[in-house]
Amino acid sequence: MFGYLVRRVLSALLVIVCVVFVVSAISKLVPGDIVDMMEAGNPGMTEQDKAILREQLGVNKPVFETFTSYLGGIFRGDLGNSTRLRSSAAVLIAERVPATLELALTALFLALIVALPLGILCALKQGTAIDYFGTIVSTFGVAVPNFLIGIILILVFSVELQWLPSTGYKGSVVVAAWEALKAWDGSVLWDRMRYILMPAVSLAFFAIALNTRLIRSTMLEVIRQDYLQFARAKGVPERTVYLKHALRNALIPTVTIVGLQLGTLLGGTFIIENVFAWPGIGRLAVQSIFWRDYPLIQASILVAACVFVLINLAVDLIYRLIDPRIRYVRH
Amino acid sequence: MSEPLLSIENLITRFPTKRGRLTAVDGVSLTLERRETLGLVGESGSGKSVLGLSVMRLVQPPGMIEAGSIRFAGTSLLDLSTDEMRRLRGQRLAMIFQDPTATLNPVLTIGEQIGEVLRWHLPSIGPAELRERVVEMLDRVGIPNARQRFGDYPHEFSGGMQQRVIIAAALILNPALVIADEPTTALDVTVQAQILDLLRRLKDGEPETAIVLVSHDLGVVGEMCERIAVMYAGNLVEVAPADDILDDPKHPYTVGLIASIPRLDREVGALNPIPGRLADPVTPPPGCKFHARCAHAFERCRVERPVLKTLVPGRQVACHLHD
Repeated sequence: MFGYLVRRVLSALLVIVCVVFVVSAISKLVPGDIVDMMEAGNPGMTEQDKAILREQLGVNKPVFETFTSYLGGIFRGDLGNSTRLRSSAAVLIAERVPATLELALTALFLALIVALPLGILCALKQGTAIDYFGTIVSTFGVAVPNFLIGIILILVFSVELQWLPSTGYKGSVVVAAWEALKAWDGSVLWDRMRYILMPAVSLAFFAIALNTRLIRSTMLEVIRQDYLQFARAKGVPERTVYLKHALRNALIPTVTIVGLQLGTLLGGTFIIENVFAWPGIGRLAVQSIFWRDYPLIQASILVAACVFVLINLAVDLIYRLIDPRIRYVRH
Repeated sequence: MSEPLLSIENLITRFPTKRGRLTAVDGVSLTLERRETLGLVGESGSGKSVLGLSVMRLVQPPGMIEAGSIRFAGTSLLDLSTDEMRRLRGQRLAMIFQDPTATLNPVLTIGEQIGEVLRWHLPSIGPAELRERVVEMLDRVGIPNARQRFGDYPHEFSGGMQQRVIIAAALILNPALVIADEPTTALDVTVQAQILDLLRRLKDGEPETAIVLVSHDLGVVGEMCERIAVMYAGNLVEVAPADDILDDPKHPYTVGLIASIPRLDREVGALNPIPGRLADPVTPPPGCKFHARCAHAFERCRVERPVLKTLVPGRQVACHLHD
């Protein structure tokens, strides 16, 4: 296990180094002169400003030198400066990471607490009205893009019913939950939850749909296995047969998908954050593209890619804990 | 004479299919005495496994027991509530399955899978005692280094060792009846003998336990069992002491089964299969279900279904030839 851990961490590091290389080479990959492009988004630049920028971005240096200086910057916590906001890209992103993570994790949480019971129920009631209802909902969820769901939610719950605010962010729900627990007062918590509800649901819808189908089909496969009859023959009650013996086996493929889903959900925040004006890295990244703010674009891509790699690493390790059959595999 | 341990009366178990209702067990009546070892024999699809599952009340929907009664140690099993039946399983009634690799849950340790029996039936048992009893049972079924292997997963065992683990789970509470559904079919020949030997040894060590050994292998059953019941297309066609059946089979189907056992003292290639296929369980033929494959069939066999009749005490056969 330890040897595997080391190998897996090293390979993740290697991927991150490659990401850094590609990100640092963006200034060379953009067709034409990158600084001229940036001027289009930031009118009023002088020739002197442009020269400084060229120096900063390493436009005139060879690719490898750009890479080493960018990598060196990362070790010093320096991801360059935003040309538009005129402050450190690292700080700008760090400020916005919590909001994005909170949104993505809430969506993932929703995707699980809705999909797990729904998938199990559809499998156990295969071919009944419940199963067909689940199938229709999940087909809908897979087919409809998340921004459309977001817009429909805004139209229904903000414009028509006026129950929930259409956009904005009032601070962390997790922090508010902790304080609500301490002070035994849920009013602040609810106020913040009203803001995260619609973005999280629109982001989660696809994952809910996919997970329901996945859990349903793996459960159906598992339900026919001999080991469930064996459990029953030992006098294990039906509930435990399903929730312990069947579910643990059905969860193995689910964990893989759900782990990767967190990556997809983080990607989804790029769109959903813009629909709901959610102040996370997704919104920042899209804005920086409109601003032609290359240092900020580079930093956003780098952070998003690193988060994705780290999640994959975590999923691989968790997978090994759940499925004993691959726990001791040596290559 | 006291009441038999198990008595099955006119049991009918059916499965709805697209073509109609499939009758897997078609009016079976059978008794089993305490401590007895009964072999239940028949070819694939004859309904012997479903009969075993019916006694455990583990026939999975949409299949269901439609008629008949099963009395076990004075209790009518079909009248018990789901929970009362659950409490009998694992404690008084146990089952061993055919394919050990598929029978053990791949994600739970074997200690957990055996210990579960104790946990559900002896709720007051503590973790230390549970572990102690499981290790002791693993030792009894011949798992080397039982203590170290408590936390191992099924894939870390060979097929034969896995079957030993299953036997340990089935026998840990000294059940009165063990239904062993083809316990050696999925195993290598040498391992088969070891497992049968283990079953025999465990049974001899227990004052209580009766075994129903379900098998398609008359050789295996003849060696292990005191009495043999032969099943064909959902019906019992012959029930008799093992030696009588092997030496002097009465039903033409039993005759065919015995003749089809490959023997080393015959030349290679001289196999004697029974001609034809098993009768269709959805639309069975009229009369005796075996008549189409029977060399001795006459007119009556085509119209009237024979019932199980006692020839001499202890010997029953369902065949018009023996009226």
